[in-house]
Amino acid sequence: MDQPTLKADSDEYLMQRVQQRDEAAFSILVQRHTRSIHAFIYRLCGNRNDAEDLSQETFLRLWQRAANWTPDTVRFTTWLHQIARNLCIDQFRREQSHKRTSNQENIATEDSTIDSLEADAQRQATFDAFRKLPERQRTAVVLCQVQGWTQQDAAKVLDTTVDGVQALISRGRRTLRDGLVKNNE
Amino acid sequence: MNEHDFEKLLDLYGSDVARWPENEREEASALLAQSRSASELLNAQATVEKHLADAMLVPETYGLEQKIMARFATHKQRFDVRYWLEFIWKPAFAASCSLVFGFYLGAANQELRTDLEEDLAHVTFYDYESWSGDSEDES
Repeated sequence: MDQPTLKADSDEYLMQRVQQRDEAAFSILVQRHTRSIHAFIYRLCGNRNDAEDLSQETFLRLWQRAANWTPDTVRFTTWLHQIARNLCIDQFRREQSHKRTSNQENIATEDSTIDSLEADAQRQATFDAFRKLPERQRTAVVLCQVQGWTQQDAAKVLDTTVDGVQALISRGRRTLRDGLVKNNE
Repeated sequence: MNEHDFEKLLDLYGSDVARWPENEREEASALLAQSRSASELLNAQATVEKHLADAMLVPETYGLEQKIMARFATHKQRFDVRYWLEFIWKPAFAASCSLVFGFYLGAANQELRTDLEEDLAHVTFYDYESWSGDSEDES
């Protein structure tokens, strides 16, 4: 089947084609979801190179593990985000085991007035505090607050209940806010 | 609603009070009008959310889709072999198990059958002997 025909098809249908080893369907899924997966991974790991590598790895896993996806149990995008999240967790573990010094990028902008430098410092402090949150809290905050996912969908990615997601978001928000207040004192 | 309740709701729903559940909104607005610490909490939360939103801006990636497809083309053959192996190992394992079990059952049955045949032969022979003996005596 050629690409123009497949472009209008749903993710679920394309995924069924991928299960039958259809490269054109895979290519469309890559085009359709690369940006959102890359954004999700970048927000979790905060590093441009890691985000690119892990995005590539996510889609390769999609091809390799296509047989594991069943449309009745989980939506395709949720499943894809689960793969991406697992890869990020592996990456965090590797970083911790190698005791690698943080190579997170600074988020300072090009504008360099004193006010903006102060604001940049505050933004950086918030981002650093965010990076120190436990992985599950970070993922919950990214999915629900930054990406605007519903708590139900986030619960599936995090393999927990809606109450569980609410608890994670609450703790994450409180920690970040307390960090900001302390920083300003 | 007191400040403690307000902070809990702030943790749960974020700084946009308009998106809080309707029954909490009115009480929260009333508290915000009279409590300075509640307002400070709300401002701090709004600042965190703004900083986070700024920090979460994703840098543009160029040609990531092409990189994915290039890497895919390099590894595709290996992935496919593994995919089919993963796909067939369970049925293959199940088929092998049934085959082994079938052989075992067949062999065990054959042993049983041989024993039974031997017993039958004995029984027939002795029965014949005793029967023929009895009939000689009778004659």
